[in-house]
Amino acid sequence: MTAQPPTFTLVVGPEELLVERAIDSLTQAALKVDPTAEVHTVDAADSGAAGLIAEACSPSLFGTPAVVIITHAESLDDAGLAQLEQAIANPPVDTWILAAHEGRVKGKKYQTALAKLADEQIDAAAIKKGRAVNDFVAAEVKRHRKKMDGQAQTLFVAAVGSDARTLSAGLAQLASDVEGDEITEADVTRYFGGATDVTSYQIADAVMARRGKEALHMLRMAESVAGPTLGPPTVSALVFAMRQLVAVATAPPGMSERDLAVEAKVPPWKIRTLKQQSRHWNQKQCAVAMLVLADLDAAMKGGLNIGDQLVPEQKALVLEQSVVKLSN
Amino acid sequence: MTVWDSLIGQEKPLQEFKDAAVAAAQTPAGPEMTHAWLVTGPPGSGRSVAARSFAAALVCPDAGCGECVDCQDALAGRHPDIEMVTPEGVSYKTADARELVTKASIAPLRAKWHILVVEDADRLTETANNVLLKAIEEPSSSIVWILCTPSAEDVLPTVRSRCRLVRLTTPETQAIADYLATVEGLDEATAVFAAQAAQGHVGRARALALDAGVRERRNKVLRFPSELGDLGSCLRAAQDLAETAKADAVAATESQDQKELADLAQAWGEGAEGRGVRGGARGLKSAQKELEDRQKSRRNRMERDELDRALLDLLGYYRDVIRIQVEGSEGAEGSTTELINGEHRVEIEHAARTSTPGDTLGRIEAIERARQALIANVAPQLALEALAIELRSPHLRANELHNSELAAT
Ligand SMILES: [Zn+2]
Repeated sequence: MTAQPPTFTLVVGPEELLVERAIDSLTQAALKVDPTAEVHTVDAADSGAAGLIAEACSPSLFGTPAVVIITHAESLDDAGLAQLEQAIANPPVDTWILAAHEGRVKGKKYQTALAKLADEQIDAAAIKKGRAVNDFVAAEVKRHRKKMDGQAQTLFVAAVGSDARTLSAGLAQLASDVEGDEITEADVTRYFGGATDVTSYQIADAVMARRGKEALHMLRMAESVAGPTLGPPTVSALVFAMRQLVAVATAPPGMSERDLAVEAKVPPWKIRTLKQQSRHWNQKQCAVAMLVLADLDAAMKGGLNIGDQLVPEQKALVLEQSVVKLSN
Repeated sequence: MTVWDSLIGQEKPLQEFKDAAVAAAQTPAGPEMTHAWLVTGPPGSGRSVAARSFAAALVCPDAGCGECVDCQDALAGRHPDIEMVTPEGVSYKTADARELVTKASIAPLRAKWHILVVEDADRLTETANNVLLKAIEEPSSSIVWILCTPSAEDVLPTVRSRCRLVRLTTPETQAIADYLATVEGLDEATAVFAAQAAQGHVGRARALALDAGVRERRNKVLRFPSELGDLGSCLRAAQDLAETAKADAVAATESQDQKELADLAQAWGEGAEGRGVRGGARGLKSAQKELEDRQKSRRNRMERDELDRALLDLLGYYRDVIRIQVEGSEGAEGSTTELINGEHRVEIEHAARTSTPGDTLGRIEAIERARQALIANVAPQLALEALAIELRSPHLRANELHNSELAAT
């Protein structure tokens, strides 16, 4: 016997990929119950949406099972909500309803009302930055029944960016092409190494977060693309990052994020990242890092001692050693 | 007065120059005279002053009387037969050297000799060296080359071997103080203070004695060590020092920059109308670009020079500290130990008591490293940040970077 899909599913959040995926999964489940099921989609932003909802949710003349998708639920009106509530309270046999709400302030009361009726609520929060991206990647990996360690995941994110669709497509490709259970860093590099445009700032971010392997990896990828010209921008990105980190880490406790942003000369949103990064560093380590960076800059300029003239290969080596030393 | 009055504490070189000037006045010139000279000496020892004085003596019918019109014009920098060339960028370009060589073919207008002084000849590139070499090898009979460098190793061996070498040494503090008192007419206390603080650099001593702004900047630099608390304050102090040096360099060059740009525009007839203006505008643009590049490189050099002076001041401070740590604050017969920074004795004695000679040596090494870093073109602020950290924790580098490949590079 096939499991019945939930009668009413509420999807909350703006991430289209996740919304689509929820719709897709409900539809697939419905088709398993009855392959003749029909899909009706109603855009709640349409004028007359209430009538369309009523129509879509009414028992079909021939008892055909139906999946009713209501998009833009944040744009419902009271009449539409009333229709929907009624349909959910007395659902026709084999009718499954899904409403997608953006989850923002607009139409909040409809979200609240619908949430009370939902058999299942699916989170479709935006996955733009930081942990949301990592969680998303981890979930995707699981969905594909693969394993992928943290380093490989972050490397993957660094390589393809944080757009959910691109991430999802990239992982789908990896999952289908990698034969074993595990997607490794080498796999990521093989698939995305050439196409990436790793910036010196990404390298610096990885160093600051003490993700040494990833930093080194990005550095090598970037070198393979940009060649030895990579040194100076990477050094200055590292120096900037370290100054910001120190400014945040040595700020008096209780300083507001706004003042901190001014002090560290960074946009306010960066403060949280810097605070996170600063957990990996104590003052002494920061101080040593500045010395390493000053030495590194000298090496990039040819060497500290008069007559030194480091060749590009030597410079690249010092750069790699410094990145490793800094992120360990 | 004579043309030699500004050459301080250099007895032996002075005699060589005087003999050469006398020989040069004879016909034919005596063996003490030659066509190519290499004047070496540490910064501030007076290489340029020596070159100018020597040039004046050569154009003077009386081997440097100091009174005649040739001497006066030479010392004022307006004698038509003396060219002083100072590089404004980081290095002499080949084109500059060629221009110089062309000048070297011109016969003197008033005097017996046409003298070309190349200050800071250590900035000659290898190609520029070779261009000059040809001219020095086959000088026309009335040309005298005077190259100035910190040391004889700063020019190509082929150039060096064609030149007669005159070595200046670091003048004694007393000689500088005497000069400031007698020639510049300063009171003795100021003269002694400036001579000591300048650590053998004559130009620096003059500036310290005569310019209150220079003294204030120096005090600011000497306060630097006391500003270093936690890491944040180290970075702030470093930033502050770097920005001050930059601002000073801008202030010092700004009016000259503006004037040069205005002169250039005028030379190109800006505002002219009619045919050819379009092409002229393009030409002006590229000439402006070239001038601005030169100005920028002059500004950078000035900024780095300024910072190097600051580092020398700091070096003097820690030399005082270690002196007290080693010799005690009282010398023989209860006299106080003579310091470079006598006016900061209280802080220096405090620093000497609260640190070990090992700390001080670590700090001195860090300052030398920062100087080298500036020469190696490391970003000034970064070099100063590293310095601030090492002054704060003089053993951090040895403890944390020792045994690593990084320290070796
Ligand atoms: Zn005269």
